[in-house]
Formats: sequence, structure tokens, C-alpha cells
Amino acid sequence: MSPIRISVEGLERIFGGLKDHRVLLPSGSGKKGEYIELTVAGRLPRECGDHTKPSAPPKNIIFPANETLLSYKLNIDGSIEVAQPEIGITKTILFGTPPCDSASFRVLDAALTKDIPEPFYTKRRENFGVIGMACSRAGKSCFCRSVGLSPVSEAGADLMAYPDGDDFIIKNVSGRLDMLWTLIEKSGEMVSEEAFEPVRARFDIPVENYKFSAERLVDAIEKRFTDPYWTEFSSRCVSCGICTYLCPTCHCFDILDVETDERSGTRVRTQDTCQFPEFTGETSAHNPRKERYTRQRQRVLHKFLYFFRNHGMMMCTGCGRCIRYCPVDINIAEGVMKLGGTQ
Amino acid sequence: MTVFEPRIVAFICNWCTYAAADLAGVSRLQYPPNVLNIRVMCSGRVNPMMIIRAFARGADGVLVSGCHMGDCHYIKGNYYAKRRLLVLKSLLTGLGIEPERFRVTWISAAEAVDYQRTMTEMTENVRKLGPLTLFSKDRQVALESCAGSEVV
Amino acid sequence: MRDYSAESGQLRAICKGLLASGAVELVLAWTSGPGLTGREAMIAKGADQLIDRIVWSPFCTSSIATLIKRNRKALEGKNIGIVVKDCDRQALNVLLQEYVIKKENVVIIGVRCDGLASALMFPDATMASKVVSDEKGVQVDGKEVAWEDFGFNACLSCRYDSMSADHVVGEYARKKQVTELPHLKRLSGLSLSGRKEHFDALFGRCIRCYACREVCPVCACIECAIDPGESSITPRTTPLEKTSVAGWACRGREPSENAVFLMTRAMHMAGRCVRCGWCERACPAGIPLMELLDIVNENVLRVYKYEAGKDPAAPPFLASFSDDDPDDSGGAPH
Repeated sequence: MSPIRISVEGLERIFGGLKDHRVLLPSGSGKKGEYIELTVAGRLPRECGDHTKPSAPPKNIIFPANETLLSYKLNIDGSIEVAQPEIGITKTILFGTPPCDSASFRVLDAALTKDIPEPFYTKRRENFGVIGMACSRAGKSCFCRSVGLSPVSEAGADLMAYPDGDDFIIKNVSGRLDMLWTLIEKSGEMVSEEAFEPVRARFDIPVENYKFSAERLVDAIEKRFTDPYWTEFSSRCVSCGICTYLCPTCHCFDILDVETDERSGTRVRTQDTCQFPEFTGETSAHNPRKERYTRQRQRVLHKFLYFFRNHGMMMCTGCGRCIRYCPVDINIAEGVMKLGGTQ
Repeated sequence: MTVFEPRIVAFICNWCTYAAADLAGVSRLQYPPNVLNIRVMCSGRVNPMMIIRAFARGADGVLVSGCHMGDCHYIKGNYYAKRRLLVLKSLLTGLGIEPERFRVTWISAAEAVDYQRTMTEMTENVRKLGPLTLFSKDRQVALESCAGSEVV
Repeated sequence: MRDYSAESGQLRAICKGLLASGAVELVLAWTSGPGLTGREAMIAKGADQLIDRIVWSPFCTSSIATLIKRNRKALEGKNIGIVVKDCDRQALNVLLQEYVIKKENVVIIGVRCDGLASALMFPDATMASKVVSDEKGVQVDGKEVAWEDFGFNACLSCRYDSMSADHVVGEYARKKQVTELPHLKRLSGLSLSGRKEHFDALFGRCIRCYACREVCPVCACIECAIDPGESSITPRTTPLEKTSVAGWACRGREPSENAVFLMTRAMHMAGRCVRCGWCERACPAGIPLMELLDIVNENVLRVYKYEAGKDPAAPPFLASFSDDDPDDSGGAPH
């Protein structure tokens, strides 16, 4: 399938005409950023980069921070009502995420839909598609190239958009959005490989920070589990969990029962963080990760070692949010480079 | 037509206001049943977290009532309470919670009529204001969402 | 014009001297790098690499005073030297008031601060860059950014204009004169329902990471009242006790629970918040926490005339009262 050139307005029209679909796009950047519907934003974004990334990752769209699994009510007559919300019915398309965010869905799928599928995520994922966009500007904390990705990586994207003036050149990557692709093909014009290559090359930009190859460091890092560097690495850590909450691939969760009153309540699933000491608190009160450095070590090894060994891909996508938003300047890329021996 | 019945939580001190409530009771003074009284030994025992949590758990109004200044059974408890609770009140109004929703009063054991009047006024004022939405909105959404409507 | 490499040099000399003479066992200070950032460190005698990187500049945006609560056990009974900018200096007074540290264990090295700046505005700067500032703004390698453009609310409304410490470095270049906090003025211009809407949205954004609590220099409770986590649980805790550990705010991130946390924290800051602003900078959801805290701060300052951290011998604000305490709350934020 050759790439298709379509004008921004043309694509906006197609989206506007989709029934039962909502199109979400990143809007605003940094801490004020969020994912809003195209009907609210009005226009599609024409570029993406570190400068347009919201601090919140897109995982929250299909893996919400707070979600009600069921509600229960004990009636006066002794009968119990349990209600479960219907989920994942509205088809959702996420448009305009940079490769670091698109790739996060590849990671989340590996973690949550293989082996034992997590039903809520899996259900939502069936009706969720990602249109990634080539990245035009790397930021000071980006390091996608070090984890096997790049500003033009299509991993995790179903369609990929390459901005070119008033147009996008769209490529069909996964086939999951074939219905939409057909509409785009009809509305746009085919582009030859020769014409596409220079557009693609414009986004094949270098990423200058934290240059290393995570894959090549895996064995070295594995040997340094008891290295005293971990203590130094986490010396300023305050275990706030921001690194995990803002990480596009972190997916640990906790389930709580919230009582509304003595007769009713809800069961709620919230995102959890391995950085809170309670994460590994056991019933006996023993806690294998009571010290902060053990928790930071676990986070780094999960991202750069364990997940890679289990699934063949880095869990980290190099988006840099943990580095940029850490209130005490802890830098996972620096840490990995030091441990891996390239710094 | 259903009338909104406000839920008011009142922290009342054992030695003064609670006694006034007792006196109102034996005197058969009538006042609305919307108030949930919680007896505390002294108004100084009331932790602002209790008030905040009462609002978060569905109270539409909260009242704290203790002895008059100088008459505290524990000498100074109500002085601490006055400072602490009025700072809390400035926070609540700063956030947009109507001042009538949180009241601090001083009612002595003999002032059953004042007790009756305070409870009646409080209920009617909060009834006019409607349910407090700053805290409980999400709970309503969470419950509604499980009644068959969709949560995407 | 303030030259921060000169001031850093003076600071280094003082810290080196204190360590060498044995007056202190550890110095708590900022160390430079990478780039412009200053990172907190605890430096012992002999750690020359760290001593040589001791730095002071507007990019030292963290509060060294937080190292005290984070390293309670390691610092117990030890004599320490601590580098503090104006707000941190006040925070130290609060910690002294509350017996978190003892005056005889602390040598205070004050650096006069005109405000903080964000290193993100100078992406090409390095550790060797020349940093100077004046009453207008900060210059790095000749590129200037005005103080207002850094947007640190707390710094632009800072009132601290004097530093008393055992050693002092630097002179103020910017005159601090704030009579009315702009964000509070904006809030008091809103109606009650406008304010409710504003804060409703903010409470929804909180992800309960507790970064604001962790980076706050005066949030030093060993067990946090609102979310004690596991700190009260030991192998001797019975199951019944575990179920009744006070959970003031449910762990779920619902706006009502977030509001309980944020409002309780604001109340616990009454008469203690020194307005360093780090909570607002640390918040990953961009919640303007100074707006929330300043409602209480202004009430305490204007109505009760109590200045947090002014006098280490004064009784804590909420643990005292006066016959002059007003009978009403003094109204909405000024």
C-alpha cells in the first residue's frame, strides 16, 4: 500500500464525518496539556514534538487513572445489586502522538493483552486506534533513539502521519484502521516512494541527548544489581511516583473498595506506583522494598532489563517525562548509562 | 415534587451545646431533623480534617458549636477552636464554599432556644443553597456510571 | 549585577572551612550540574569532588531544608552546616520551632535570594556558563530573561528582604515590594461559584503523587496525618488495628478525596508555610498550589498578624491563641 497525500482539511472532514467515533488529540503542552476531542479543539495539530507533548501520557485514555469496575448496593430486603459499567463502546482514534507515545501502546499491549488479558484494557483497546505523527523536535530529555525508536518510528501506530505543508502523508502501518484508511485513500492521492522519502527524511532528526544503546547495555546492567551506585542514584528521591504516573508505559494498578455508605459502594481501579513503599507491603508487615533505592532500582530494571527479556522490546520509549518532571532531578538515562558503563 | 433535604453535620461540645440540645429536647422545642449531632467533649477537639471529610462524604453543611469564650469546661479549648476553625472558614470561602455552609457558634447549656434557632436557620439556609457539589460530584458520576450508562 | 560564580566561590570557602575545622560533620548544599541545575547534596569532609561543585545561583530551585526531614536518622545528633536561601531560612525557623532540629546542631549559611529561575529557558547552557542577575532578570552567557517571564508565582510575590544567619553570602539586587498577591487578587475578583468552578477543576487534576508534600521543607511529620501509608504498621500490628488505620482520604484519585488531601495540607500549613513555591513547581499536573496555600497564608498574616518562620521561639500558630483573635473569619481572600 503506498502512502497517501491528503490535505489537513480533507482529513478533518473525514474525521468530522465519522459516526460513532471520537477523535482525540494532544492539546497544550507540558503540565497544562491534555487530550481533547477534535470537535472541541476544532483543528488537527500540524506537527508534533517534545514541545507539544502533554505531561500526561496517552495511556490514560484506555487505561484511566481512576476507573469504576463495579458498584454494589445492599437493599433493605437483603438482596444485593451489582452493576458494571459498559466500557469500550465508543470507537476512539488518537491522532498526533509522537513515536515515543505511540510505541507505548505496543508495550501496554504486550503487558496487558497477552498471556492473561486484562479485560478492561483489552476491551477498550479493541476499539482504539492510534494515528502517530513523525516528530519534528526533540527536547532536552528525549532519548528515543537510545531505546530502539526514533522520531520516524512507526511502532505502536496503526496509521502514521507525516506533515508536509498543508498536507499529511499517511501510511497504513498495522491494518487495524482499514475502514478509515479506505476513506483516506478515496479522498487523497497516492504518493510514490521517491516522493515520500524526502518528506520522511526531514523527520529523521538526530536526538543528541543521552546517546546509548539500551539493548547493548542489558547484560552489563544485569550484573550490577548490588552495585552501590543505586544508593547514589536514588539519594534525592522522594518516592512521589511522578516518574511512574507520567510514564506512558507504566501500568501497575491497585483495586480498592470505596464505601459510599454502609450499604453501598464502588470497586475502583486506580493506577499504582512501585515507588510508594506500600506497593510491596505484605500482610505480615514485612516489606522487601522498604528502602528507596530498592524501589528505584526495580523501576529501572523493569524498564531496561526484565521487560526486554520477557517481551523483546524496551519498556522505556525514551519520552523523557520522568526526567523532565522529576521534582528532584533524578535522571534514568544518566543512571542507565552509568550502570551500563558508557559514561 | 421532591424537596431537597440538606444533610448537616454538627459537632457539639458535651458541656455546653450538647446540654442545650438536651434542654431543647425536654422543652419540646421543634427544629428540622436534618442535623446529625456528633458529641465531642470540647469544641477544641474538633480537627479541621473532620469537617473537610464531612463535606467530602456528603454533608451539605457543617456546624461546630461550643462554650462561650471564657466558659470552656477545659478553660482554653474553645479559644484554640475559634482560631483554628475560623482559619478553616477562610479557606472554605476562599475555595467558593458558601459561608452559610460552615458555621461556628457558641451556645451555652441554658440556651436551648438559641440552639433551636441555630439549627433551624442552618437547615433553611443550606436548603436554599442546594447540595454541595465541590466534593460529591464525582461520587454521583461514579454511581450514575454504573447504572447502565456508558463510561468510555 | 550579581555574579554567581563569585558568590559560589565565597560559599565554597565557607563550607570548606566549616568542614575542615570540624565545626560541622556534614554540609548540606547545592552542587552544580549537569548544566545549570543545582542538586541538593549532603557533603562530608574529604568529599572534595562534591565540595568543589558547591554552587549558588537562581537555578538552585530546590529547598535544602527538605534534606533534614528526608535524612532524619542519618543527621541525628550530628552537627551540620546548611545553606539556605531566604524562604528556606524561614523554614529552618519553623523546624526549630517544632523541635525537628536543635539550634546547637546547626550552622546556618544564608544566601540572599532575589528569586529563582528555570534552567529550561537556557537549553544551551552548561556548567561553565556565566550566570549573573540584576533587578531586571537573569543573564546566562549574555542571554537575558526577565524575572516575570520565569513565572514562579512564589518568587515574584516574595517578601523576604533580610537574612540573618551565622554566615551570609550575596547582596539583594532586586527590591521585593509586594502588597497584594496577584493570584489572590484574581481569585477574589471571582464570585463564589466562579471560585468553586476553578478549584473543582484543579482538584480533579491531582494524581495524589504527594510530591508537594515530599518536597515541602516544613511537611516534616514522620507519619503523615492524611495518608500515613504503612508507617504505622509493624509486625506487631493486629489485623483489627490495620483495618482501622485512619484513612482520611481514600486512595482512589476522586476529586473529593483529592480535595480532602489538598485542603488538609493547606490547613496544616497555617502559620508554617514559608512560600518557597516548590510544591507548585513539583506538581506534575500543573496545579497552582500557591493559590490554595495563599488563601490560608494571607488570612494568617493579615488577620492574625502571624508570620510563619519569623521567630523560632514563638509558639506555633495553631497551637496558640490570643485574646485578640477575631470572632469572624475575616472574609474572602484579600
